[in-house]
Amino acid sequence: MNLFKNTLLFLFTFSLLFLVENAHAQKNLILNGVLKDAENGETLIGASVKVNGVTVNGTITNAYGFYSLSLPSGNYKITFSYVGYQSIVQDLNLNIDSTLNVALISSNQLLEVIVNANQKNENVVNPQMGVQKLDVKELRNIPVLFGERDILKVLQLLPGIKSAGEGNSGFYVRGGATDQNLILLDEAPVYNASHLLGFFSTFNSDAIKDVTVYKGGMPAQYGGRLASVLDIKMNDGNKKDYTVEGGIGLISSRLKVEGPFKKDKSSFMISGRRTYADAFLAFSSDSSLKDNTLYFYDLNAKANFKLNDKNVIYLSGYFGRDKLGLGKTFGFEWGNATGTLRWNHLFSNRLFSNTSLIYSNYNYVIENFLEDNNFKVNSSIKDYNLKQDFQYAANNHQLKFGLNAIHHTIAPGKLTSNGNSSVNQTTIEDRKGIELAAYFSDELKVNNNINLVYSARLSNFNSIGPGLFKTYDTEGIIIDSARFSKGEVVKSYLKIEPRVSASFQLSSEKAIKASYTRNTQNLHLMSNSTSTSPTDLYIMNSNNTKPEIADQVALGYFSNFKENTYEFSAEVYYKWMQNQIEYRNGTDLRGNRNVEADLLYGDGRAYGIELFLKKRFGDFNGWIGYTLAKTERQFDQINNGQWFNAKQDRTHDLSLVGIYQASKRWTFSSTFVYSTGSAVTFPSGKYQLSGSTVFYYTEKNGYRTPAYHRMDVSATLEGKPGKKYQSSWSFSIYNLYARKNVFSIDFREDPNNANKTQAVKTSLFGIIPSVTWNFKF
Amino acid sequence: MKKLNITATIAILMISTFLFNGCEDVIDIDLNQANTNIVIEAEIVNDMNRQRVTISQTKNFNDDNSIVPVTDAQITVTDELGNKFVYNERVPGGYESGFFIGIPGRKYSMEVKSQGKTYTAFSIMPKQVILDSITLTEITLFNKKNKFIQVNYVDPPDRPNFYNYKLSVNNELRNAYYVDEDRFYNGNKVTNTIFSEEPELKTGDIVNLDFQCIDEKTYKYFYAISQIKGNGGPPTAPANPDSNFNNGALGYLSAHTSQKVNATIR
Repeated sequence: MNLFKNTLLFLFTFSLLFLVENAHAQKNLILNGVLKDAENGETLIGASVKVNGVTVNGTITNAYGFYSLSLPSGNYKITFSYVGYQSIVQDLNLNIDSTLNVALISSNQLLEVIVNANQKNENVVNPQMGVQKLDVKELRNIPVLFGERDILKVLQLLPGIKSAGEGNSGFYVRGGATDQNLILLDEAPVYNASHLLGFFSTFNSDAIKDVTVYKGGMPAQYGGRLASVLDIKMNDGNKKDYTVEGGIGLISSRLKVEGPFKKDKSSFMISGRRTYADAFLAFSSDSSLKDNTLYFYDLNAKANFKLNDKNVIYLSGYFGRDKLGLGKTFGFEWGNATGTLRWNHLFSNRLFSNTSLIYSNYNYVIENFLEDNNFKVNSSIKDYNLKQDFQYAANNHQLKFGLNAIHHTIAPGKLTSNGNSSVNQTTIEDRKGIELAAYFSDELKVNNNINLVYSARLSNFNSIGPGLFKTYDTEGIIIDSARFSKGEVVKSYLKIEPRVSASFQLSSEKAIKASYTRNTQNLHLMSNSTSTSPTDLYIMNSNNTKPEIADQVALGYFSNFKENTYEFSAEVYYKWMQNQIEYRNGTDLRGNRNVEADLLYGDGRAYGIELFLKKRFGDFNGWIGYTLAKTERQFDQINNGQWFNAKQDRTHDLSLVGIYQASKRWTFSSTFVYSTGSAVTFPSGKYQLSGSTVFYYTEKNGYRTPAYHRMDVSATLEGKPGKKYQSSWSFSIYNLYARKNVFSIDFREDPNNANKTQAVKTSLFGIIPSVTWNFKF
Repeated sequence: MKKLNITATIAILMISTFLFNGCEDVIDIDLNQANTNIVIEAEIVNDMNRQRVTISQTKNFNDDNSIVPVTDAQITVTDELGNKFVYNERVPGGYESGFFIGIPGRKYSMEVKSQGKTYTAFSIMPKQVILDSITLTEITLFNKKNKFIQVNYVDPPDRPNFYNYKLSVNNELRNAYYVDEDRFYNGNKVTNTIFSEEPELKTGDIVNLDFQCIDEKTYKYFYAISQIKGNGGPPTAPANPDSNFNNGALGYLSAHTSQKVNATIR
């Protein structure tokens, strides 16, 4: 009954927090409201509210566009601002609790772009560090592969975030692995964020409103992954008018429809995308391609209903699927489905609440149709998730606290066959787990120069029955096994994750920030191959596998200059990681009942410096990001126990992004990336075995692939303004100077001389031009 | 269950063929000169009356593929009944025992002394599973019919079994190791396809198959090597396979049954 005890403990902590808050002085008045886009009524996330008057104060809007501040009565000048929007300054005589709902006008809507940079130093004042926000509107001007706008690819242009490989939407943050990123789409975890084996992400940027990534100093409401949080919010849907927009590209088409159910009260958004690479197959002159299937599609849908001023309901969902088929021989499909139901409720002027019910499912199916050994493999990971978040405005404090309970089910594999197949029907036992968390966070203004956020997250993971649980020794030999009944706790882990961050304001445009963060991770992705695959398997903590732990300290200098036109930041970080996972040689993850017998546990460390310089406004804007970093792992059974470079280690990583608005209709842009090659294991020798050459390896990840660099360009032509419908053309060229970047390096016997061996480099992309036509009416 | 991996490969293949024009270049890589290491390749089989061991050394990547023999090693095998077999060097690096037939079910321990170091390993010869027949199958991949050899046998249900299908075509070794296990078809009548490497089989080819029942350690050893090569799936991070010899030696001792069949492709 450990589970109940833990739940009680959470509830107790939670109610204690509540009492503490109520003890705060209530003399102050409350100012709250919601910030929206004036044109379509979309709420603005992370918009800045600055208050100048009796006291100087400020906050940012939450994920629902809501803000609240506790202020003494008096006269104030209040500035509402948001990147890409015209700021609004309003005078207010605050003598009773007040609500100010504000609609900001997008700069794109202005005939002349008015730059009001005066209040755009939120990035400096806010104690949050290690955070990057993507401007979704900016995405359309950045060149991309095959003309497919992709937030995950653009994300990789930011310092500290590195691509997992050529054309890959997987990413590494500050030395973390791809499975150490928490990827949330409207709060629902997305377990496999890629299509077509990684070349495209599951996120259709048409449907996306806000993208925020935390590389460190994660706010306490997030937990469960070591390296980063990527929080993606879908569009709510236009509350003013019906609009239809879409695009036709070389490999895919998109369509989005949105509009109000009831003007200003409720709206919907539905957005779909499908690739048609296989449509070309039918026309292919190569008849061998005709019978094959290859496509993906995805669908995002969302609706919101404002019941009254105190209650809003949101319902959102995502469904995406990849399908591959090889004639009548093999079939392979995979995809995610997520659903989120949310209820925003204002208990009082001070207390904002959000309740979320979340469902997430990832599965894959492999089929072999060959008569003699036909089979079908099903595998899935499924979550039911309940979240309760509160936000409370007190004098000088912004309090956030909440609870989270997730029920995980992992079905590692169910093998079925029929007819006279030689394959036996086999099912590998499901694994179930319950993840409970409670958190609180307090952001306070210590004085005019110091802002502080201190927070803690209590995380509890329970591996539960039913099932047969084996215990392995360090050699992977079974030393014990026990059968647990349904709901019985096999193993429980309780971790406290303290997190602190502070900013010291040197001037209105300069600040130093420092943070300490602990994260734990209870789900681990099993992939012993050099690349990720849709068949990679998740496992949970168990009697053998402990939660992964990361402790990160970071220090940063943040400065804006030329009236906030330029933004500069330098951050250094050091991260310790415990209970990292690797595999024994020759581990077979397919349908393996004893996967944990093949796991090895060790430590990790990562450190580096990230420099970022951005020009935020003007006809010409863009950024330079540079990272100097190191990340290593240490396992007693690997590399003779010596530290070795993790595969995600890249010493140098440079990104340049430039966007130039040449005229009202033409925009040109270019990106350049350079990074040190990946740490890989190459043979240091060879030997003969059974008449063929086998390679001899000495040091794990002791070599580097050649450096990666690439330049892309794009041009966007907007249609003539003033028409009833708008259209635009995007032209882009990926890999402008046809750099043959390494996808893989293989070693083999020379096909022309069996007595020699050779190294062979495979590169995927030459120059890839693309064109997309976008429309909106 | 190779097909599971093969599906993944085909997926990657399709994507790269359809969308990208992947290209291959032979490149020069400056590889370290490693210290040499001993490689012991030892087999004990049930259809030979003398057993053989080859001992060699690793060499640099850029050298040719000839074997560097390790001479003057002392090799003895002891079985679980206490019988002892001594090996003699017949050719440099090539050692052969006296009269000695491997017996299924028996455990063999080998000791190799070379250049002041001693290496030991043991292997248990599995009970023999009889190959019923080999047949030819045609599978259409990318609208092209390819010929493959299939092995037909009945897997015994009472124990885990590990197999190696060693295939030669026109007296040229095609797959030295193509390992398989009965995890997914224990106790069944099995028809498994050997997806042999290029060039594809054609009418008139003479096929020799050595059907071996190997122990689990040998299976894992060869599985690890084939995984690095991709084994039809995405390759794993390379490492030396775990040898059943101790003291850092590379190679393996495999006591296995052997059944050789041949056929001509019609």
